[in-house]
Amino acid sequence: MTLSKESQTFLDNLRIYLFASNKKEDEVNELMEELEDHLYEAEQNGKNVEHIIGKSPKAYMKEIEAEVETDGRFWLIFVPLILLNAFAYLIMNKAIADERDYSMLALIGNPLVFIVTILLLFGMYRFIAANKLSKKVTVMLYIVMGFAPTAMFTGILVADLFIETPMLTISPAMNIAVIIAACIIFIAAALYWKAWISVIVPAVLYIPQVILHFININEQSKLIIILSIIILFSLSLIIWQLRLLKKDN
Amino acid sequence: MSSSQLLKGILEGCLLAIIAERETYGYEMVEKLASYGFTMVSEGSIYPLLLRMKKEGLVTTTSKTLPSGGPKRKYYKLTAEGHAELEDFKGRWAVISTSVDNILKGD
Repeated sequence: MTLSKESQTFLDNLRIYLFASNKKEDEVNELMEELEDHLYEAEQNGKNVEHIIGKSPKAYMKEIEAEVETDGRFWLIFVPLILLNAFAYLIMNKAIADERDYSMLALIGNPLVFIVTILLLFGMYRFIAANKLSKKVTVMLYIVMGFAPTAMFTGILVADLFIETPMLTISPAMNIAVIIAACIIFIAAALYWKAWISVIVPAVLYIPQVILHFININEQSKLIIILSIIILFSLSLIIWQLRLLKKDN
Repeated sequence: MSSSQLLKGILEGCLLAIIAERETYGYEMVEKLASYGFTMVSEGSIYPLLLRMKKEGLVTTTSKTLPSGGPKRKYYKLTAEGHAELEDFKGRWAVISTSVDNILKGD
């Protein structure tokens, strides 16, 4: 059974729109199945998609959005978990090197930029899905959104150099607590997403650093060892993924 | 209240009446509506309404696989509350339609 291109495009856009509005997945799936069934039967009777959803896809999407339940887990679990995970990566590097100063600007700015990025991204998806935009405008939006987070994170790095904000210095004992907390976050993330990769990646990144911290060789060799481990690991990851792809085919 | 909201209230009452006749699914409801001349709303606008009616406990749904294959089809059935709401709607509608008729006739 095949739908016309217009109907399929509308269904795809509706799905993106509802996804970017954090709607409950099973409720969305149920509704999509029902709409697909309807569109199919309507098309067989010679009706087009406008007949079903009215003149404005946007108005119809909003109508649906109002009735489908929002998935509270997104802001309560997903975002905090990703945020903590990203934070754990950022902090581990410093903690292992025994750098114990944190500027307020970075502590507040980084999570803020992260949340703003999610809001912008979802806003963009909703906008693109609900409005008939030209290819040019769509591509432009994607490019801008691709650069925006990097620009904002770099902005914080640069601002941190020029603007003095209060520093938070933690004790060596606290530093160890931070490392343990980061490890727990990596493990919790792995358990939640059911993917070992969120433990393996930090392990490959940080365990050699910790070991090398206690070995007396010069900085240059340390850097070479760490880099070669990361490159080797990335390569084997790529090969592994390619094999999985081949198997699927 | 905008005219579309008024229309939605009426549409909900009509859907209750159609589902009360027998267990049915979306497209069939739309055809039924059209056969009575109810074509003021786009077909798709029944789905947000049906979703709300399900949450309010007025209808229950079952998914059935079609003998011809393809995706499952969702069938709607009225609950006891749905029947009660339908009776309520009939009462409200009788009052509205008579009074509007009277006004328009200039009695």
